[in-house]
Amino acid sequence: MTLTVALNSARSSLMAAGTQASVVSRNIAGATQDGYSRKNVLVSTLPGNGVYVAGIQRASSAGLFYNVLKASSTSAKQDAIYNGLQKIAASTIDDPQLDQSPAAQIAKLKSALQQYATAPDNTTLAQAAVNAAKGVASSLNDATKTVQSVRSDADADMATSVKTINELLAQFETVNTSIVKGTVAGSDITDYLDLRDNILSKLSQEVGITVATRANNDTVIYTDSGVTLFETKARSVTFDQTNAYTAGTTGNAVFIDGVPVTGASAVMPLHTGKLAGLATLRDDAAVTYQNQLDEIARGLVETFAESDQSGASLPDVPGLFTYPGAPAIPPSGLISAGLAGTIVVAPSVDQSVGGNPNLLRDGGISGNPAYVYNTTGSAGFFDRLQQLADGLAASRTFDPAAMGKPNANLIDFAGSSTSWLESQRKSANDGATYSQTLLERSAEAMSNVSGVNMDDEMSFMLQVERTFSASSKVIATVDGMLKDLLAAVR
Amino acid sequence: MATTFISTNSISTTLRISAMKSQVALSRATQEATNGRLSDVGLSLGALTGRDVVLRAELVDVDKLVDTNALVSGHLDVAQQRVGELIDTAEAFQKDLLAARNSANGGNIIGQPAGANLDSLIATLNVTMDGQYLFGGINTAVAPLADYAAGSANKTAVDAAFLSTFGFAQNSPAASGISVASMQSFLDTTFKSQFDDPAWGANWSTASDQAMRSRISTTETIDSSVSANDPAFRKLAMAYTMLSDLGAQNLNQGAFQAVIDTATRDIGEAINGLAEVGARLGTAQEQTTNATSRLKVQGDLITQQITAMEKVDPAEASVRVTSLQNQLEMSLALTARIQKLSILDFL
Repeated sequence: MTLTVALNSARSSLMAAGTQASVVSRNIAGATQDGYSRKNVLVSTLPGNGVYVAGIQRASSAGLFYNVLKASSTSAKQDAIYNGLQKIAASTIDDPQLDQSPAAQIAKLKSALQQYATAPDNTTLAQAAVNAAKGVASSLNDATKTVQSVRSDADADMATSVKTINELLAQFETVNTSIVKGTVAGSDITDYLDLRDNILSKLSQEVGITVATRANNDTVIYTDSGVTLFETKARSVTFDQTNAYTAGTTGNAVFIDGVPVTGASAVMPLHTGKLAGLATLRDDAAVTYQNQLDEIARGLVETFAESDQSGASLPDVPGLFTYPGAPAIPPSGLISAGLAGTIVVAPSVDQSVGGNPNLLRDGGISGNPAYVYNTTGSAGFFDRLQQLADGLAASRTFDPAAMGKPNANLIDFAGSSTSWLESQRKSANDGATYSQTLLERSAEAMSNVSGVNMDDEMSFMLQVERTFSASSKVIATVDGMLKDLLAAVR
Repeated sequence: MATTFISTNSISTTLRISAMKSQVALSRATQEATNGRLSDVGLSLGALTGRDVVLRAELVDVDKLVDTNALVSGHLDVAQQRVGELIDTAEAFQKDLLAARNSANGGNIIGQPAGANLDSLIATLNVTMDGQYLFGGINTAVAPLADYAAGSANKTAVDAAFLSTFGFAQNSPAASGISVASMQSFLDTTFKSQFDDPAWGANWSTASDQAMRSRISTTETIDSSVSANDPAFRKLAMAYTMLSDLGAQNLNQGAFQAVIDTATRDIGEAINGLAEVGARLGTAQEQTTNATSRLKVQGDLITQQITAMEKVDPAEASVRVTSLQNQLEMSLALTARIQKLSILDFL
């Protein structure tokens, strides 16, 4: 009978309205949640039975989503590099006005030597020059400590990142399996899809990824360099942390699926992601800056070295600036790793530990009388001091691997090192700002496609309400009509 | 549908991000407007930061040179003033010599002023400044000239020379028997050798021959002192000693005139030599003064360059502050209003 059809249709309408109402409330619940995608109910006709819920559709755009993943990886990499460089620059250079940089400290030393050379008999000026030298040595020591601590922090962050990646991959495996099963069974997997996309977003911050979807909504993940991260099962991501860093320490590589992806031995190195940024910081930027500091230290040892005055052709020995490898001078034109951390002012010159600062004027700081310059013992012996001050202004050769000026005087080289660091920092900052903007735009575009508009949902809810009341009214009316019919029969 | 759809999340996120960025930019702009300098010099200059640092290092160097030049100038001034005094004294003494030559009692009269002049010569050359003996060459810790008194090496050597030549001491009455020729020969050989090396270095002076050398600019170094071993000083010492301690009061007129003539010649040469020393010191002073004024100009140029690299136009920065403030206020007001727009108010 057509009345039964009317009843059935009204009933199916109520069910559909109920599903629609539940989807509206789910949408509103997830409206401000990042990564939530809007759900639609697909209602289609069942001939002879009204309507039925064919499925729940999820508003999404794969292309926009991959844009967001890429942008967030790039942004994470630039941020990691910038933060590390910022730490190094803030403690070793800071504002040039403060005269903290190695170049400024050396300038102060030259100035103190110039003052001392005017009155070589004045022991107070001698100790002032020695103090200026101690300032240079301790600023190089501190800079080395900062650089190495940035490296070891980067190493620790890499370990944390690898742990996070492994956790995320494990979660991904669970969700992916549920999605595949759900697709095969035909159940509502939209929430799982949202969850999976969320995991991918978090993963893309740690390491740059590319994603491909196979049959049954199965997803495979590769790194942006092509190494498999997930394919049916999660692959292993391993990393051995190094705790203490010195200038010569090389950090370990991250291994994904047995392939090294960071460091010099990487066959398929990561391009983006926090891991890539930390690895660049730890293995390239910080190492280059440390090399520059070491070259400055070597330049100082070389400038202040004493040569044989007795005619016996003895080799040069370290003078005012010495290091644990004395009496040999570090080889010329080659980086001496870690020298900036071990360079000290010779204790024989430092009044505060019982030394004689006048040795700066006289020579013989190494203790061997063959290296004494002031053979007459004159109080006004200016020759050696002039020689030292001139030596600071003389051009010398530096190892080109340090990326500073290869032929320059010591202050110019220190200045070129400052330039290098700040230009790295500036380009990292520019890159970070650009990727951040790109990320915001991509995220906004994606949100506009797949996000929830609460006003829209509420207006839709009004529609659903009307449909529901109308269908209920139809049921009540048909019920009344059937009652009348049955009353007529009785 | 995609181009006309906007999500609630996207609306609120955009406003939030805009407000945050305005705040960050505002704090930077405020700092720059207040200081007139870039807030993060390294970040803004990038690869030019090294130039900034090196310029500052040069400025430190130039400033220090200006300071030390003031010291060097001071030393040169004092030295030149003393040399001037010595010239004046010597010129006045020349007049005394002329008078004493022809007077009968010349030997007695000339002895006392000569002795006084010798002591004053020694005292002048022993002048110190900032604890340094200015005429000591590089041996600045020790007074260059020894006093001429009984018991000191220089007087003992002169006495011994006189004794060995003539057989008796200066104050013996037998001195009146010394002939002109033997006195002249004594003055030209044995006595003169007392004021040459090695006797000068052994008995009279501990100064070194090497003068102090100072750097007055990034490219020049000059000799900034005169050693007491200069021939002009030696001749003065010889002349004064000759007249004060060779028994002039006992000599016969001929021998006495020989002594006076030799002394006159020596003092004449000494005055010429002192004038030359004075000229050298004057040149050094002029070089120092010129170097200082050049350094000051250089320092100003460097300061200008540094400022030009780091400065921010304060007017532009405060305009930026104002416009950022407006932008921030607007985005906050919009955030409030847009959040109020909701269909729920109308249901």
